[in-house]
Amino acid sequence: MHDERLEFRELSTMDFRLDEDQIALRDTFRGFCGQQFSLDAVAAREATALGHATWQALTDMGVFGMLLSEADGGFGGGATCAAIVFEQLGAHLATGPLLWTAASALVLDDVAEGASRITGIDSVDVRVGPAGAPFVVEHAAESDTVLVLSTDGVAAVATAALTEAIGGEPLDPLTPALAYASLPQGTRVGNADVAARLRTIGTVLAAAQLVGTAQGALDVATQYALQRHQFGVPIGSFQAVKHILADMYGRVELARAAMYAAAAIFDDPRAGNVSHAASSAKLLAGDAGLANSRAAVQVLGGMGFTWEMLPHYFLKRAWTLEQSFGTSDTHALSLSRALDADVEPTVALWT
Amino acid sequence: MDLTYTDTDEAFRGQVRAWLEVAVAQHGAPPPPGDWPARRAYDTAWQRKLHDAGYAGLHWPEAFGGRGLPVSQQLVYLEEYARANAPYISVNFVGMMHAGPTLIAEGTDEQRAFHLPRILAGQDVWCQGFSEPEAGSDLASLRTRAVREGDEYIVNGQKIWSTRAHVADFCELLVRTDADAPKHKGITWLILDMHQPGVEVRPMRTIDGESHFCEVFLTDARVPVSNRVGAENDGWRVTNVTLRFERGTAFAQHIITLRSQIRRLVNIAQGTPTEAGCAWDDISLRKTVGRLVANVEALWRMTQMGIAEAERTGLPARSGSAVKLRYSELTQEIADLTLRTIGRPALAGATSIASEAARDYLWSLQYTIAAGTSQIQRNLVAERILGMPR
Repeated sequence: MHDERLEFRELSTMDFRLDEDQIALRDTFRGFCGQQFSLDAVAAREATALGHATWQALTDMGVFGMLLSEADGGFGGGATCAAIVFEQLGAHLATGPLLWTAASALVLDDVAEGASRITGIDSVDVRVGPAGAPFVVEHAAESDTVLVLSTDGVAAVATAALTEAIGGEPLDPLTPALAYASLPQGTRVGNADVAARLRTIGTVLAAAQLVGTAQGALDVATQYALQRHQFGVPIGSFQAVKHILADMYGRVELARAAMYAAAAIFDDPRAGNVSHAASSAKLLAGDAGLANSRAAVQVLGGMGFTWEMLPHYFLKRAWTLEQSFGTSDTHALSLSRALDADVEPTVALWT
Repeated sequence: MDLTYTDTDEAFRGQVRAWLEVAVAQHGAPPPPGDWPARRAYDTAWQRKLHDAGYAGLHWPEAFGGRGLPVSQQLVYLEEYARANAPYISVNFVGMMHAGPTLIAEGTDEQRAFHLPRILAGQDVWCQGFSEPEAGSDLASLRTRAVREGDEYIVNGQKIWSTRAHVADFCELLVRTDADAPKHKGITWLILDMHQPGVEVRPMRTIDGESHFCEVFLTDARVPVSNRVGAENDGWRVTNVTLRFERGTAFAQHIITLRSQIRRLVNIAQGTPTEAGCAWDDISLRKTVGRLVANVEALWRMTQMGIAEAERTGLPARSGSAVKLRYSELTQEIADLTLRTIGRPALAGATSIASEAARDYLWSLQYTIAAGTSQIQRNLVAERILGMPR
């Protein structure tokens, strides 16, 4: 018996932390985003296309090849490294069709080299009502191609072929979006499996960006609570404010744990069920992004209600991301359906 | 980052699963609520079985009778333990999760040699003598006095909220040994033998009609100086080693058990007929349950990270307060939703499932109070992690 126990002493390789290289990557991108997407200059990025120089800088940093192996001309960091990057992009309110472009490298050529800007929509985000709800495409004006994910495949639609857009002001001034009554057929570029894979990585990276958004909102609220004095003391010394901040911290930490787990499982499916993990991550990150940016408005008080302070940008970005790659409710329903198979056959309770 | 279990981990899982499958069934159902002597016998007999099979103290170092297993296998064990619906740790909680780890960290060789094997084998039950009527969230203001007389401390005072003290053999007792020092500097950590004339235990009837908690009255109770853990007046530091542990990793078992609580809720919803079909057809219930699933799985990830960090640094993870906050609220949300799903039959305790759900709901209310209220935890997060002024 004793020997039998000893055989299990071998050290596990399991590691729940980012490794040294990944932490270095995070710090590099934190610095990079601080320069390219300075929060102090966020107003200048409203309702504009991402400048060519920044696009080139992102290309040079390997953002669009992040998901490709080195053999395919990419960075080789997989979903985990991409998630690290998109968390920082989220925290700095980066603009441009970054997520779809990075994801599309899995199906389109030359994307990693920054040759074209790709946006997209996922059919799970489109409610086709009796009146025909419009197709809302983010960054449509500055993109070359719209990827359309459906249950049976992926289509690429040239933005030049789009009909005239309907609608007006976007909710998020940092995410210009246009609505279309219909979309052309486009060219088929992937089958159902490819569509599913794009949807999953998009879900994980949207969660990563939302985690960054939630963290950014917490950072803004924390700084303000330390600087703003009332009754002769920083408002952060009041328990009523502390408790709001503590809840913000709890939400973002929980979402971050779920998000990196989903990314790691995407990279190594032996570690779990990637679809469940991605749903958990997106749900919690969506909730954290919305609740934290909403809380930041409250902590900043009257100032939080003004256009010149940061909370509204985080809040509007959180809404945009929450409505992409499945809402929190959509993912909650998927997770509940997973239980149908998981729970043992029902016993009649009252007989 | 690597979240995969190795083949060795999975082989260990197979062994644990096979053992639990037989052992849990053999051990049978727990005694009816309220029968504490029977509960003690049931729990300690189970601890003995774990011990004999080599599953006691997987996280304790080998030098102290534990298995010293790597984190991944501790996690495998916890997952399998919850999956098998194995008996709740119950009367063994303080010994295994609190007093034992404290003695490992701060005890003398004699204290470790005597107590650790007895805790592991389910021979002794421990309780906690921390809180007092006037020292709750402000624990350091405790007043129970210990005066040294030769080789003994003479202890007088009152403790409250001592979980399962009515079936305990020893108590981890915090006393004031220097009334003049600042409040954190005059506290000492003692091992109190509960079986002596100066110790009177009065069970308290709580919201669920049960008596999990006790008041402990100490009148000239005697504690040999050799039962002191750490130096005199250094008890606050000794306590904090375990308090942070309590907020970090000691709840791992509870957290993983939330998975089965959600399964039970779904099972109840599936078995509850409605006009259209069953309660589980309800979209809003499904959305709520889906959110609970995401929360539980993410909290389990955070717990895994916390355990790994604690293992690496020797200190509990700093996210412990956040984990404890979310865990305690989640438990309540699940218990609340379960009782709502059952509905009116719970009013009459119409079935054992209904009565159990009602008891669980009422019991769950203690989680946001015990081991540092949610309000205290939020203060800790804001001050210690986010840097807000006190």
